[in-house]
Amino acid sequence: MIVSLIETPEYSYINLHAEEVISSNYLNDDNQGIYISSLQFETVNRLFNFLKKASAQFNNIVLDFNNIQNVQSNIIDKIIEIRDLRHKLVLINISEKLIKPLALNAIENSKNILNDKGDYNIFYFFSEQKSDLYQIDIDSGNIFYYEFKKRLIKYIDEYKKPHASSFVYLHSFIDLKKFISFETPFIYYALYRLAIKIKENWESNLKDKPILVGQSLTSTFIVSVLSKLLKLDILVFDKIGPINKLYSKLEKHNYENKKYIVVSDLVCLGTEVKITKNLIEFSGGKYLGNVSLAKIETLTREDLDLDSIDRTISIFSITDKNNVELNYFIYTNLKKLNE
Amino acid sequence: MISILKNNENLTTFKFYTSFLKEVALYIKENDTIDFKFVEHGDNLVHESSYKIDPITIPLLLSLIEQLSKFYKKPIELSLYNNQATKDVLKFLMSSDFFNISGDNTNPYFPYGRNILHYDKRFLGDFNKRDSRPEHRVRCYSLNDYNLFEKLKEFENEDEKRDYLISEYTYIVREHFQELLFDNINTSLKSDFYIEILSELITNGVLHSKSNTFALMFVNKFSTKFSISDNGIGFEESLNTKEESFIYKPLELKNKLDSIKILQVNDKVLNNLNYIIETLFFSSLKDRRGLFDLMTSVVLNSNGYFRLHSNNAQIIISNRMRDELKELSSLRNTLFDLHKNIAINKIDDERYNGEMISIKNDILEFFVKFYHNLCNKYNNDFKYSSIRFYNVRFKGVHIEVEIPTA
Repeated sequence: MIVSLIETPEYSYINLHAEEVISSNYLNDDNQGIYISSLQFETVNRLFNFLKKASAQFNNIVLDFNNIQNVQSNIIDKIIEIRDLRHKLVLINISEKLIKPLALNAIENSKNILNDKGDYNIFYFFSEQKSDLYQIDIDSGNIFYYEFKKRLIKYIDEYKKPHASSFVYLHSFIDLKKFISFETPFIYYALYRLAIKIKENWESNLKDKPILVGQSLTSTFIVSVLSKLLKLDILVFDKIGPINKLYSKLEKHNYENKKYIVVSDLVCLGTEVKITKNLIEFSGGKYLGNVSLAKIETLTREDLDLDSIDRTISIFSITDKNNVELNYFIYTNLKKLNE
Repeated sequence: MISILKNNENLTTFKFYTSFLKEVALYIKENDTIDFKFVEHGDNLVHESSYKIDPITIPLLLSLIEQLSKFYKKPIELSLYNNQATKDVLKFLMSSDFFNISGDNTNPYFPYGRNILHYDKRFLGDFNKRDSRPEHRVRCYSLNDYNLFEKLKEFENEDEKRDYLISEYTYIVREHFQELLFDNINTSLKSDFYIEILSELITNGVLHSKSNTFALMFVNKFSTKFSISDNGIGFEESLNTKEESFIYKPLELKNKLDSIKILQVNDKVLNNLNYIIETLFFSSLKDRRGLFDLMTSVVLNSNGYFRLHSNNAQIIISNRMRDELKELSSLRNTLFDLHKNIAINKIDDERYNGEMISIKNDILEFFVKFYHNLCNKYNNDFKYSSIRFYNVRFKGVHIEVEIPTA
């Protein structure tokens, strides 16, 4: 299982850190979550076997080394074998520490330029001076965005008549539950990216071991994976949503002096997040913020004068740039003003 | 009966090789059997005695017991004493899993017992409350665990088997020792490096010995120590399987060393030393990182010690050889870069062969020079020499690494 494989017309993209996280946490009992920084042979060998079996496409390979600070010695031998399976190999986000272990100096190519920190943002693992790859901008964020959008579009269903949710009408319904169920193993890569985002955003707070809060069936799944990746505990409210009813008393859990991050599958207008935030704060806990797989940006950052605590951190946004393409719209019964 | 711990004497690895092994050998010669008692005075002189063991001796002890039990085809007898004088050391051995690993434990909550030592379990208990670090445990690694033997069958190539095992042991070792490493601010920054050293050494042990390898990591304020011990085939036999290539001719260096007669040491014993040097030479020519590179990185990058023992000889590589090692390692790196250049750029002609052979000859000469120095120093003052010889042969390869933490 290779979770991060994304095929584009020009290349196959693989995120090695995401794969190493899977190898160490799921295939071995090494509970380091995303905090692991060393790439092992097993991961690269797994990738090699996967690519070898996959239908022999004449495609280039892009290996993303982001978040990798150390590699097992002699791993370059397997990477050379991977290169030999396909057309051309490109490495991105190479930390300075990896240049020697990967023997990158053996390749002479003037297009490979060190950045200010002494790292390579992109490293062409070949010497030819003519290649289409030089024209392409390879950015892991963009690669992920387009892949997520391409996959999500299949799970957006139009309502026959406007459906009411939190006092607005929705034109269509994003079935994230279905998305999560069908889009494996890609969903694990998406959740890996979410975990990395949480780590970057709350770096200092993560030392206090905040608790991840799930508040629906889908978000409980997300929370359970994030808990493994971030090594955090979880708390589940079942269930806060448009139709909400709490079943068990909240006193069972001690909120005092604990910090919380609320996790959702999709944040639309943020009503559920606000309810959960209130519950946590009322009970004495400290609310750090909320995260979601996807969010709807009904207004832009500039329009909304929100404190950063009330902004949702997510790995995919539906905005005015893509809502038409995704067939998603929110409307109300009110008449337009005559401006 | 031979006592393992002597009164007022710390059983260090040095003591183990010099006096303990000799005692064991003599006893076997006279009695044709062996059994141990835990401490010299047993239940006598309880208030006057004190017993100590250096934790990194534990893997050696287990390795020896395993060899003996294989030879006599039964667990070796050990008489225990639990009294004021033995309490602390007994407790340390207990919590380090020494007894679980050597005994017949089958309880899955504790390490699986290899059944090489027989002792009365009733003596293990009633310890004082103070707990030693629970992570200071001796571990036993074997291809029979974690289904590794089966998993290795997927790989045909020996180098790949090695790579795969190293990566498996990285995960296992990290789980076993990470708390120990992360606790100490000096080791936590370099934890990837330590884990790598340990998993490479364990892999070497398991692959060569085809059976058990005992390992222990010990961290204190001043240093981090590893000790890895196996009962494998040793360097001589494993070198005999190496094939000739355009740069490596089997025993080219060893034959040269054999003709150098500086040391007044038994030929058989000297032979061990020459094989150790040949192994390092072989490793320094390879197109892959291995034992030689591990050794130089311990000494050059971390100011550490690297002690390598096999059969009757031991070589201690340390900071004192820094200048020589630096020169050697720079030759090695030039050669390694050429190897990688060939692999990465798919060069299939022989355009670099001349250059590589010339570097090889430099390395060869360097080793000869190095050997001369070692021997001369040994003759001047063997106490402070980097080589040591022991009369009693202790099978297998035994490595100790010590890295100062500050």
